[in-house]
Amino acid sequence: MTREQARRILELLPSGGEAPADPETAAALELARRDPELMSWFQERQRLDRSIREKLRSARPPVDLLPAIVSGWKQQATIRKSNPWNHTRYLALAATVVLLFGIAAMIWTWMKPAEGARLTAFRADMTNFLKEFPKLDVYLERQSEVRQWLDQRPLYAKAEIPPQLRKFPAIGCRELAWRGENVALVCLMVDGEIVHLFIIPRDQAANSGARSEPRFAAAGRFATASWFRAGITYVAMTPGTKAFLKQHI
Amino acid sequence: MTEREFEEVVTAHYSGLYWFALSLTRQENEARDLTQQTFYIWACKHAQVREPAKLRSWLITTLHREFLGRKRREARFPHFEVSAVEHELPAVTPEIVDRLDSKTVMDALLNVDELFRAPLMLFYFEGYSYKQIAEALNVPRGTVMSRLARGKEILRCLLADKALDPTSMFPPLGGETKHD
Repeated sequence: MTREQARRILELLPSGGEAPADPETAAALELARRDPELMSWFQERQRLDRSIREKLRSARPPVDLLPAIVSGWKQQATIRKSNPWNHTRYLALAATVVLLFGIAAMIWTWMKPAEGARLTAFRADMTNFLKEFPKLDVYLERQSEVRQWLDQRPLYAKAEIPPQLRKFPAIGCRELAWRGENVALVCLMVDGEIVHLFIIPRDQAANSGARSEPRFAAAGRFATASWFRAGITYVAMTPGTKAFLKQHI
Repeated sequence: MTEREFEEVVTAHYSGLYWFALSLTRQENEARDLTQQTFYIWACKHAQVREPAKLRSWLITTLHREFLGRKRREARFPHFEVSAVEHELPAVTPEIVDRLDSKTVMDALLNVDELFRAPLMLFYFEGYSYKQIAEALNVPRGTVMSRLARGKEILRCLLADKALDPTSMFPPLGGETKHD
């Protein structure tokens, strides 16, 4: 290893930090031990790095940032606390999985004569998908932001969130693929319950079997509603009751 | 998680995260937003971070991913090449740096090209080795090594310029905020 090669490696060692345990670093340090000029350069460079580090670490962030983060989280926590399902999410997860499978079976049994197999399959897949609260592409609070998110995607630009749901805060949105088709998911916080609204555009809607008027299915604390409007199929799913869903769809 | 637990973690880490975010965005409002969002993500997923010792690196990695995600969504993610141009470096010594105030040194770092700022911030502020930086930024080690070396060189130039001419001004950052 030449002195120049050693310099390049030593330059990258954080002052006061732990040197990486690799042969190159060990060789560079060994060379520095045998080369006073290189060692002198290395020590000077470490002193300079320490000075820069101390200056940087003494810089203070904006004075109002800490309270802003904490107060913002408190607001979010307030919304979460108003949702009993979310509040006990982890404890209820196992029970939820069982219930969702139960719902899927009940929905399938109840809806089968009236709706298409495609919608039934979609609902079954989505109940499985919602076993855990899904990761969202964006976390949005305002419905206007949800509208904007939908408008930015030509597939969903014509989608309409039911008027009764528009006054509630959003949680966020996600686009997912189902059997090769794109589907939008809009999550809303409705009177302390989460409502997952799936928006299924284009041709699959035409064959879905959904009706123009919402059709409800209920099982325990969970409910689903599906309807078809202006070329788009909507499926709403919530851990709330069927009556709760009827009130808001 | 209790309010107190959340606040303790924020208090311990928000400063470093904010400066790292600012090194990525150079926009103070965006940096604030990224910092906040990172803590909110952590609040939702804190069960994933079982070892307290790994929390800092988890927060940094999450913030960086969030930043990249936003950049991709904005469809303006630029591609950079490391310049091979070498400069004659003016001498900058620890004594010169000691005479500068912390804001000047921070401003100098924030005026380093975007490509080099994040590795530099992790190197100086977090004391990360190039291997840790490579893991945090998900960039090959060789790339980090060249960016770090080049970034340090640029930073020394900026600090030397500032020391030679204290009246010289760095370009202002975007946004407005209050600092201590």
